[in-house]
Amino acid sequence: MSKRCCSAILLLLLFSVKAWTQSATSLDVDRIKRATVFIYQAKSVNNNLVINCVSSGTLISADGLIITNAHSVVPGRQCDGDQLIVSLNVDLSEPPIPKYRAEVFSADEGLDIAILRITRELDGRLIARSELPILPFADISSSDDLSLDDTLIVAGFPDFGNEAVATTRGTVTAFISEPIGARSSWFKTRAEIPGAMSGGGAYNSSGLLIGIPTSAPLSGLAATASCRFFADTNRDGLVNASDSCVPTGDFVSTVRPISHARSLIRGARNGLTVDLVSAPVEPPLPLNPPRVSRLFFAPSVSDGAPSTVVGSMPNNTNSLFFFFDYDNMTPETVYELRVSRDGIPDATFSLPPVRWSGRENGLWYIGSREQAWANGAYEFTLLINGTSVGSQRIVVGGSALNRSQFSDIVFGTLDQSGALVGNGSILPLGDIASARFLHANMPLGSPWSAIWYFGGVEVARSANRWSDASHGAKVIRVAPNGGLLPGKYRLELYIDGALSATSDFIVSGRPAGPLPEIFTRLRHATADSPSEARRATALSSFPTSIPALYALFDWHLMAAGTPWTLRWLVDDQVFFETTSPWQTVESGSDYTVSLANPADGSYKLQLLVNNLKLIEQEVIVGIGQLPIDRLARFEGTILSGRVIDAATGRGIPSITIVLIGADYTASEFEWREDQIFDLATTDRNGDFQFPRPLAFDTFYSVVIEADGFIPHAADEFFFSADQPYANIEIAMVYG
Amino acid sequence: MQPETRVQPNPPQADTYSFLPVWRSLALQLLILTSALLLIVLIGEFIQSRFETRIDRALSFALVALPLMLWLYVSVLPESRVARPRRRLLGVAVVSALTASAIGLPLVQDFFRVQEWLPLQSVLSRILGYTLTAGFADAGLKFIVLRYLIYPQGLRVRADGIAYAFAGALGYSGFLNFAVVWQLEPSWNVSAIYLLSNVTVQLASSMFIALGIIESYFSDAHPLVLPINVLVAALSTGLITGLVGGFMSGPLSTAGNTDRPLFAVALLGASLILALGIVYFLYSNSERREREAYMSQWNPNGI
Amino acid sequence: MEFETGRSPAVQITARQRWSIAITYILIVAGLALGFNQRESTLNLASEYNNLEAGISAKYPARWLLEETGSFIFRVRDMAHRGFNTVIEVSAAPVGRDTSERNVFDQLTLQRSQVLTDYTVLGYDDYLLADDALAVSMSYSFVARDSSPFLEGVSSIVNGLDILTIRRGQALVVSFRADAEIYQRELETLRWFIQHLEF
Repeated sequence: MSKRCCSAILLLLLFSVKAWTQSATSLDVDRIKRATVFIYQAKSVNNNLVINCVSSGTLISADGLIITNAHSVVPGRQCDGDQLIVSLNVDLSEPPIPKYRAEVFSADEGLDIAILRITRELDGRLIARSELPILPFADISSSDDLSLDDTLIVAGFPDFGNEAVATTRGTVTAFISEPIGARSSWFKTRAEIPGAMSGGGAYNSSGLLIGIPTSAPLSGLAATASCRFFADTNRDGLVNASDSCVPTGDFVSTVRPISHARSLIRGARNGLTVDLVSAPVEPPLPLNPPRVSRLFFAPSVSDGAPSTVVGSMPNNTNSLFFFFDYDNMTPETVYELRVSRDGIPDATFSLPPVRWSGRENGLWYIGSREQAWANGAYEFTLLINGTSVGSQRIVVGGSALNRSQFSDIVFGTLDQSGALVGNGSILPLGDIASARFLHANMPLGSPWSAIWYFGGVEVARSANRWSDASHGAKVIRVAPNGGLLPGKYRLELYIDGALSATSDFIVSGRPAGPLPEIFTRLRHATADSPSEARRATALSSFPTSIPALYALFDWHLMAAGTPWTLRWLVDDQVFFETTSPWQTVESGSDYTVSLANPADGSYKLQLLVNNLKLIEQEVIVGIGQLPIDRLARFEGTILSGRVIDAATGRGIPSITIVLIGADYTASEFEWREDQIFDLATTDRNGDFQFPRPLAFDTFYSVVIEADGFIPHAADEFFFSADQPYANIEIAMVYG
Repeated sequence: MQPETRVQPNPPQADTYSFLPVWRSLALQLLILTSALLLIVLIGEFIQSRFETRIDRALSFALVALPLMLWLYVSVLPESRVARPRRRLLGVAVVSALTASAIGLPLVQDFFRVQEWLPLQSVLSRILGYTLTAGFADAGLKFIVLRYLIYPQGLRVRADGIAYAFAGALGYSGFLNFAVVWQLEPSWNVSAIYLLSNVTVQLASSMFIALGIIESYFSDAHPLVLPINVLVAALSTGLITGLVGGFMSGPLSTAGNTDRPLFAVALLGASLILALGIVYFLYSNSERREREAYMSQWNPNGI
Repeated sequence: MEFETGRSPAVQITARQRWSIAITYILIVAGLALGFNQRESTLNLASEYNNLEAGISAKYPARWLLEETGSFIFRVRDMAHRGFNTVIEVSAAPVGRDTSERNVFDQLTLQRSQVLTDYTVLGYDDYLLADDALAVSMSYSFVARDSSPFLEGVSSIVNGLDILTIRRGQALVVSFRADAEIYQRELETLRWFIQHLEF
């Protein structure tokens, strides 16, 4: 018996050791570090570059795409620089060295994600994308498979570029949901991550990039721990509080999942830039300060709306959402949620200062699902730009109460049989809007009321005594004077004066089946300008190398401010998605968007309102498939080393090492470019590194010819999969 | 063709102690030199530690002086103790070194620029190339020095040719050694290999030149014997120079490569022994023939 | 003990010995001449390049790397040279009826000033091609550095010479670039290249 027990334990031990070894070998921390960059945003002042903001970033492609936080690179009120300087890790044990300049290729300021592209040498010279050396980059994985307690490795620069790149290990402690992310808008960790590491990379245990550690510095603060003075910006000969400081967030505890950046990355990788030609050039920023109202809790969310409104939650609660209305918000607004349980700060469910990823106004929630909420009295305090703007309490614990409640409101129109039809959240123009909701534990005669709003203004109200069954579904309707106008509507249901359920819907477009007809005549054309595109013939396939692909559509009865989404896919993968309030006239034609220099591929444009796809069209450019990127994955052996003079033992600068492809041997090499896999040249210390990784289990040959030295020619340069790095020393002998 | 003047040779015994023996001292010097340099190479191989550049250079220059000091001590100083010393040894060495400095090295390095095109050629091309450039340049210059300094006035006995050629080789290689250490700044153990290489190349070449001169002068050999010996001298330079780099350069693999100084030392040692062996054999042969001729002249009846 | 035989130092050398010495001198001179010849033939070893589509054939130094991918018709580089690899690049560009050589040079200058460090035009001159046709040349200099950001690259001052001729509605530009230290010497290679260039 004891023998068997010992054997089982031994077996288990062996398995665990094996599993640990596998995970240890698959994590390449050096590679993560090599892919991490430090970014300065600087401003030209009197021919001097003054550093405005700093952040960490991660190279995500061999040709110089970098992902980082938007707040420190996209010009804004706090970071108004016009130059981005990228520092790379030349030596992993040393601080980074500025090497290149970059430009923002695309960004989502709300999500706080920006994709940069290296475009110039440090001295300002242009570098063509094809001429940039192959840079080390991080492979991206899906963050959807992440679970609580999974290992998280965060890489970045902990201290304004004064220190070498660092990694911090932690675990995932919570997932935070907001309207922008289906499962998680953030995941949280308790690892101690300095603010300057914001924008770096968060990796899973396999070393794949799954998120961006994000923390937004509060604007308007100076001389705090997160804002440092380290340059004489006002040129008074002193570095003091009268100079501009460089802000960073406090300790980072939130990570933006990489899934939110997928479309930006895909667009950048394929060089796809979308121009919303018909959109107003600069949407007006709200002049009034941000504000929030109607703070309440819901146990779950359905299509962005609370299922019901609750004031307390029972034992074993594992899903809770904090809702509020917001107004006058901008992408530069920094908000924060502080949660305390029984008066003690609860780091798990708090959200540190981050940028606003919603629209200017609407209904927002912050919460979590599938996570245990310990019993206690919770207080949720919301801060905007560092100032408390509201708080709400909820008690979790005790047994579930059979209290009266309304829930799950859906909107539609009634058909001739009296059944509710529609999609639940968008109604076409008409006279009557109907809403169906569920009710439970409703005693007969209890007072309840329904209030309908249009554009924030009450348009109808009904107050009654409950006369239906205690459990079931009920349909109510509203028929405003003059019929339903295009715009945003809201229904609030109260029981005994307390809010019990609420939901919003949109009225837009013409009646046409379950979905209203809002967008029509979606078509594609190619032309040299938008005006030509409007006159051009619509096509479904286009030749390779067209200057621009235009998509045009007409729209009907769309009220200003109605949120709509434009989504563009290539080969069924989203590369551009934007949701914004409608900002042009109510009905019109030829709304134009353009895609510059589209690569070969199948392009599909989708138009959505309230996440409902209303129309889509697919066209083909060239062969209808994106070109294969040879360097999409960075797999293989990084071959580096040093060439030394055998006489002196010192490195020899400027020697070229020729790596011949697998199809040729050194003796077959005829000094033709097509025979070469890659070239490397030694630096002043004799060090070299092949930019491209050598494929595993492939035979290469090496030729070194340098004036004055006996040449080297060797075949069978072969590295197996367990050799991600190879460092060799080559001695050259005078001939 | 008969020589214009023919002097009756002295009886052999008369000259036995009046000239300093040359082969023994030459062998002794080479043995000491090769052993010392081999020891240094071995120390360098096994210790693998590096000195500061300053110390490395000082040691390398000290090594450059080693063969010259040895030669002064073993070959030049004892000359003062014999009745008929070879007075032009120092002169030959100094003029050879100056010739190497003024013509030899510039001709090879700056005119032929061998370092830019020869190392990249195949082994055969390298041997041929070095023979036709450095080989002929070195052999030609050393021959010219000997021709004008000791031929014929410094040649009393065959061993004079060997002694002066040795002096020329040491002077010539002495400057080349100095130039190598000055230009390349090799570490001290690598300097030992370059030193051995230069000494071997120049000595082998000089020995063949000496053999040619001796045969030409003392045996009044066929007019082609001297040029053939100079040709062989050039060829020996080409062979050793063309091969030593390849021997020293280790094969490249995924583990990188290292230099192989011991291979180079082995090649140089073998070359030295072979060249000296050939020259000594031919020298002894010719001397034996002449001795036999003497003997038959002194004792025509063979008694 | 060593037995030595000797001769009197007063002796004169014989005619045979004189011959011998003379032949030795001849041999040395002949050997060195052969060495020079081997050097020349090694350095002048050539590879051939033919491009029927572009109508260009050329000879270029053997063991120089031939490249055909890029914004040029072809390019050859001396990879064995330590420092900036001497390069000869042949490219063509369509020109209009009113385009002058100077227009093409100015266009090149504008492009290069964007990508080359300290790009400076040094001057313009005439250049005589192999078929005695007159071309124009532009000399320039810039600073080149190995582009790998992870290494401590060595900067070199590079001198360049563009030789331009406009024929059949096309501007053919032969660009030659070499490390400033060896530029003058390497110009010989360019002359040799131009002599063997047919287009």
